[in-house]
Order: sequence, then structure tokens, then C-alpha cells
Amino acid sequence: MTAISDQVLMQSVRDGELDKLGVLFERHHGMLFNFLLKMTSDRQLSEDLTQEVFVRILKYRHTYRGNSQFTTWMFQIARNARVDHFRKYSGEETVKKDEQLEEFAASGPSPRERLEREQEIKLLHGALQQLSEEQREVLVLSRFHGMKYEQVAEILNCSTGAIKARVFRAMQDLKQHFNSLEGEKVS
Amino acid sequence: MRCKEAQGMLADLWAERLEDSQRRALNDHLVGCSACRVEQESLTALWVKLGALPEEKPDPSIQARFQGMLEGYREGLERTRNIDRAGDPSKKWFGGLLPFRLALEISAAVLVLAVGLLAGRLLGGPDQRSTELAQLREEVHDMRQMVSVSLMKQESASERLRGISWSGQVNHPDPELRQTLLNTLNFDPSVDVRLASMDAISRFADDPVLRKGLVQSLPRQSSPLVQIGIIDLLVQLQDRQSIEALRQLSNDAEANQSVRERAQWGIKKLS
Repeated sequence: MTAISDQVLMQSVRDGELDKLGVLFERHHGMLFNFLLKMTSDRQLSEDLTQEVFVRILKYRHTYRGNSQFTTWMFQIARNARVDHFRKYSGEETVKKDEQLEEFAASGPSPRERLEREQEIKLLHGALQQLSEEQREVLVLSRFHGMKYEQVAEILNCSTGAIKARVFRAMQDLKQHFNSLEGEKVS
Repeated sequence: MRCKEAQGMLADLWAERLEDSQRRALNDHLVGCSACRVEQESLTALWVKLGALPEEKPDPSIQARFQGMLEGYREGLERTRNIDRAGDPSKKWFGGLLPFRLALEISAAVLVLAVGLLAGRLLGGPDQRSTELAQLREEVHDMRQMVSVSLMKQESASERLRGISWSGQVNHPDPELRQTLLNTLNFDPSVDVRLASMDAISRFADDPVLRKGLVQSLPRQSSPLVQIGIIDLLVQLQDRQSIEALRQLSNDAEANQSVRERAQWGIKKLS
């Protein structure tokens, strides 16, 4: 049986079938949570913002046009929700949840390999957090969510060429940060 | 191929978007340019590592939270529909409807006033002009408030939303606009209109009457979504005077569970 497309589901929500939003939540909340987590490094906040995004989808459902992918609209809302949150609570300290990354040690045949993998994951996350928000955002969307550059361009409201240039520069900067964090660990 | 061009192709290389001819051209350059080759190899290795980062999962309760939110929203919608059908006395609020034509006439009057005053005053000296321009601005501002108030009393929800949107052009609301916004927040049959009025009120958050009105609105709301929106707004405004109201809401057995939890969160944030 062919799954109903996101666009059709969201159009149904817009037309009053609110239950259909549950299917969209089921499909996309994981991806949304991961995007927000990579942008904020805060699990609790990322969960709260994931909820907030779906509240806004419900609240503004009448504005959904269906002329681009549902996920494009969803990520545009997510970006705004994140910016609004930090605008409201800019005085608050956000606790970086780096220690939670230790849970994700990759499996390996030896404890040494597992430890090395764990360290590498920490370094990569650390290096990602050192990028500017603009660079981090473009990498998270294109690398972790496998979005085509055209879709990323639509979400970020710029040209595909600009996205590719940003991806390249972000990778150059990421490499520098990764190397210097690696150097700090060794010394 | 120059180095800059080769660098410009790397994003497409990583996304596997290069055509065969482009890939060959890039490889030819990399064979002959060690700096570009080293950079391409190290960045590509990093790209691969990034892709291998494990995906993280949210807490399993996120699903239940979402369902709670959706249920609460539907409950709120259903309650307002029932109130609407039963002919709630709060509908008297919309009893004094102004014909929409009046709003159009007011808008036209604003325009005529603006043009007339401006044309007439251009002949005056600079001091006279600046005083009269200030008066004109005040008059236009007052007209905007009138349009906003009259639209918010219309039968159609979309007209009421337009009225709320008009209030966005007002810098300092007069008592009538304040009261209209609060009445809309408390009594409008549409959840979407109430949410929009809450957003509009947040623009005037320094106004003590509107601030107090927000707190008083909390227990009156039938929609959990609006209640949660008000709680978030009070936390954003750091309104410690609302702690008691939040405490009562969090202890209210009749209130939606998500709302009670949000009220508890609000108390923690404000304490």
C-alpha cells in the first residue's frame, strides 16, 4: 500500500483532519529533534522545541500552501522557533550536554577501539559546535538529513550556489576545529 | 582547471552530483595539484566521518506529550464549538456588530484626512508644518485603532484576524483597543483568533492593564493551547506576579494535564 505523501497529509490537517498531524509527527519528529539537538546541544530544549514546532504547525495550518515539500516548511518553522527561543531566553545559561554523547560509543571488537570511536564522536560534536550557526545549520541539513542543496537553499532562503559555497567553507573550518581539538586532547 | 574551480566542485562531489565529465576534469586537476589533492582527501574523509555519527533519539515520552497537546487542542476547539451552539452570553460581546462597510468608510476617511491635511499644510511655514504633521500622525494613529476595534467585532473570524493584524500598526493602544483585545482573548469562539490576540497583546506587554488581563485570562480559557501560550508568554515577560495564578492552575484537577505541567514549569522558571 502506498504511503500517503506528506503534502496530502498536511493538506488534510489544514482542512480540519487534525489526527493526520500524528502521522507527520511520527515520520519527522526524530529528524527534527536531531536537527535541533545539533544546533543547540541541549536535549531537553530540543525536545521542547520539537513540540513547539508542531504546535506552530497546528496553529498556522491555514497558511500551508503545499507548493513545496512539507519538510521544507517544517524546517523553516523550526529555524524560527529556535531563533525565537534564544531571543526570549538569551539571559539563560544553556548547559551543554556533551557528557550525553558518551552514551553513543560505537561498537567495536575491543574496548580500545570503542574508546577511540567515542573520543572521535566527541571531537566531531565539539568541532561542529565551534562552527558559526550559519555554517552548522547548512552542514546539519545537507549532511545529516541528506537534503538536496536545492531544498536547503529554499529553507535558508538563498541560492543553491551559496549553499554549496557555504558547505565547502564549513567543511574547511570544521577540519581546522577538529584538528585543534584533537591536538588539545593529545597534549 | 584552476584550484578555485576544483574547490567549488567538492560540495557536489560529496553529494554525488558530479557528471562523469566533471568528475574526470576534477580528477585530472587533483592528479596534478598536490595541495588540492591533500585538501580533497582530508575533507572527504571528514565528510564520511560526519555521516557515520550516530543519530540520537528523543525521550520516548515525546510521543505522549505530542498526543496530549493534540488532544488538548481538539478539546479546546470542541468546547468553543459547543459554546457557540449553545448561545453563550459571551456572544453578547459580538452583539454590537458594526457593519463592515463602516470599517471601509473609516479607512477611506483616514486617507482623505491624510491627503487633505497634507495638501493644505504644505503651504504653511516649517514650524507650522511639523506641528500639524505630528497632529496628522496622531489622527491617523487613532483611525487605525478604530479600524482595528471595528474589525475585531465582525462575525467572520478572518475579519477579526484582520482587525488583530491592524492593531500591529498601533504604537500605544487606547482603553477601547486594550479592552477589545482582552475581550477577544477571553471570549472569541475561535481558538486561532484568541491565539492571534495573545500575540498582539504580547506587543504591548509593558502595559499593566494588558499584563494583568493576561494573568486573569488563564483560568478562563477553555483551550489548553491558548493557556500554554499565555504561560509561555508570562515566563518570557518574567512576570513573577503570575506565580500564584500558575500555582492555582497547576493544582486544578479539571485542567488539562499538559497545561498543569506547563504551569509547574512556569513556576520553576519564575521562582
